[in-house]
Amino acid sequence: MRQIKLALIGYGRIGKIHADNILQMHGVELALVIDPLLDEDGQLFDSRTKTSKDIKVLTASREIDGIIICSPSIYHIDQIKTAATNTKNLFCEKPLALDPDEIAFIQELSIKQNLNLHIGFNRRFDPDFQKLKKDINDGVIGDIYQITITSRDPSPPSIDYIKESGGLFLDMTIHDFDMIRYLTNAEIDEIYAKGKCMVDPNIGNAGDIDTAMINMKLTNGIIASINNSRKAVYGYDQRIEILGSKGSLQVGNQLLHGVNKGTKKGFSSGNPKHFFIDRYADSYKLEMHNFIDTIKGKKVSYPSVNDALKTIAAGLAANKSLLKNKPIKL
Amino acid sequence: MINKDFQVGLIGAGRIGKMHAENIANNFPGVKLKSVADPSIDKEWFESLDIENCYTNPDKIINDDKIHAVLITSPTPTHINFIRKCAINKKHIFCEKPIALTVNEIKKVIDIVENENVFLQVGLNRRFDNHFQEMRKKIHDGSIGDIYTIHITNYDSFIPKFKFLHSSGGLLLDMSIHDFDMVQYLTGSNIKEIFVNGNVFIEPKLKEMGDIDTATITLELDNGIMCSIQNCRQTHYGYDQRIEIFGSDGLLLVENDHENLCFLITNNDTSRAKLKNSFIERYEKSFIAELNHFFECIQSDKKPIVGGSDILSAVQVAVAGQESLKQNLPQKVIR
Repeated sequence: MRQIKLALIGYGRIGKIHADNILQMHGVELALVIDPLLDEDGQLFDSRTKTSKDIKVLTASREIDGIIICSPSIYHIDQIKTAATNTKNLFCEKPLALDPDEIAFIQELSIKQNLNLHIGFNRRFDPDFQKLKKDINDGVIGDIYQITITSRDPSPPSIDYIKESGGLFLDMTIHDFDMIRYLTNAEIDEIYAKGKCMVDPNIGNAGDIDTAMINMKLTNGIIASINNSRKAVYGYDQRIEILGSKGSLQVGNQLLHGVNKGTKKGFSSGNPKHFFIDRYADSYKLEMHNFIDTIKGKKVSYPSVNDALKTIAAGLAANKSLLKNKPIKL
Repeated sequence: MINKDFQVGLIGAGRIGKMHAENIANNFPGVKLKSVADPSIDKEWFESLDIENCYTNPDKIINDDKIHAVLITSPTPTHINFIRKCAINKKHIFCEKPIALTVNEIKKVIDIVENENVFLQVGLNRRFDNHFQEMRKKIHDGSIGDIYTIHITNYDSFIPKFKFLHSSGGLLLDMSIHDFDMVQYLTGSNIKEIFVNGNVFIEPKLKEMGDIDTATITLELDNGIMCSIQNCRQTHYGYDQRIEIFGSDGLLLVENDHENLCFLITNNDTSRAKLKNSFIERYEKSFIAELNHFFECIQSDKKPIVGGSDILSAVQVAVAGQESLKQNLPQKVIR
C-alpha cells in the first residue's frame, strides 16, 4: 500500500509533537515541514522529509495527502485557504480562529470544497475520557444531572503569549467547553462566568484573568461547571466528574509516579503530571491516527469546524458574562 | 466535668432527635436526658433508653424547673415557637438548623435569647467535624498560601420523602445552608454574592413548589475568594461530602468516607463499598462533639462558638440564593 504523505506547517511546540508522532507511524511519511524559522536542514526529520520556510512551496507539491497546521492561530485562516488548494484533508490546531465570522467563513469554504477539516481538540482522544464517554453512552450512570471539569495549568504562559491568546476563556476554557459538549451530546445554552486576576498582576494588566469559575445550563437541562486556573503549583490538574441518575463517573489526575511513602511524618505520594504534553501524550497520537484514518477513507467522527464555532461562541459569551456579571444566552 | 444532676429535655424524636438522645445516653454519663416530647413517639425506642418521661405536649418539658437545657429537633417550622418558650423559661437551647426559614424570624429569636440571657447553639454540626477542623487549621497555618477558590460537593444518598422536602424550606435552606456556613467558617469571610443554577431531575413535584433537587452555586466572598457548591438530593452511591480548597501554594482536600476499608480486586476490576449512607454515619463524631461543646459551654458559662448570628448569616445567603434562582441573576446578599 502507498505511503500516506503528510505536510506540517508550523514547527513550534505543538508542531514538534505531531512531527515526532508522525515519524514513528508505519505507512505514513512526513513529506514536508514548513516554518519560517526553520533551518533548511532535513537532518531534523527523516531522510525523506523536505523542509521550507515558505508556504508557497505547497502549490508546487504534488502527492500530499494531508496537511497539519500548527502555526500561531492568527495565521490559520490564510493557511487553510492555501492548504485547501492542495488537498481536502486538513488538520488545524485549536483555536481555529478567535473571530466567529472567520470561522463561519472557513465553515462555508469547508462545505463548498468538501474539506475533511479536523480541529485539534486532542482531549477527546484521551483514553481516560474516551472510556468516560463510552460509559456515559452505555448508560452506566443513567441520565446526566451535573458535569464538572477542573482544569488548572501548572504555571501561566508568558505575558506576550497571554496578550495574543484571546484571553483565558478562548485559550484555556475552550478545551473544557468542547469536552462538556462532547461528553454530554448537548450544547451550551447559557453561561455565567466569574473570574479574577489572582495569580499574577501582570496578567491583569494585560487585560486578562487567571482564575475562573463557569456555571452553565446545557440545552437538555444538564448543569455544567468549569474551574480554571493558570497556576496550580502542584502540577497539571485535569479532572472530570459527572453525576447521573444512577451514580457518578470520575476521571482523576495521572500522577508522576506510583510510589506511596509512609514515615513518622505521615504519608506522601506522587503529584499530578506537570506538563500537558505528558498528560495528554496518547491523545496527540490518537487524534493523528484518526486524521490519517479519514484520509484512508474511513468514516469516523472527529472534531470539526462546527465544534470550533460552538466553543468560540461559548468563550465569547463567557467574556460577556464576566463583563456584565450576569448569565448570557448563547 | 459535668454535674451529675445536669438534666436536659428533647423536643422532637424524629431521626435526628433520636440520634441526639442516643448520643447523650451513650457518651455523657453526667447528663441526664429526663424527658422527651413527640406527637407520635416510638415506644419501643423510648423504652430502650433510660428516659423518665415521654410527653406529647412539649410544654411539660419547657415548664419543668429541673431541666436546664432543651434540644429542639422537631420540624423546622415549629422551632421558633419552642425557642421562644424555652428562652422565657430560662432554658439553654440547642436547636437544629436552620432554626427558622426567614431572616426576620431568626432576628427575633436572637433578640429573645439575648434578652433572656440563655445560650442558643445551632446544629451546624459540620463545624465540629475533625477533618474540616484540620482543614481550617491548615488554612490558618498558611499551608496553601492565599486561597483562590473553594469547591464543596454535598450530595445526599437518597432523596427524602416529599413530606419532609415540603417542610424543609427547600434545597438552599435545608442542604446548601451547611455549605454556606462551612465556607464562612473556613475562611472567616462572609459571602457577598450568590448565583444559583438549579434544576429538578429527581422529584418532579418540587417544580410546582419552586424548589430544586440539584444545583451548582457560584459564590463570591467579601475578601474576593470565589466558591462553587454542588448539591444534589440523590446519588445512590452514598453520602458524598467533599471540600477542596485551591490556593497559591497548593491544594487542600477532604475526601469521602466509605462504609468499610475493604477492596475487592479481581480479573475484571477493583471494587469497594459505597460511601457512608448519611449524615448520621459520616458526621457521627461531630454530633457528639457539638453536644459536648454545648454542655461544656453551659457548665463554664461560655457562649457556644456557633449560635444565632451564624445561622442568620447562612440563611441570608440562602434567601439571596432563592432570589437568584427566581430571577436567574446573581444577587448580593442582604445583611
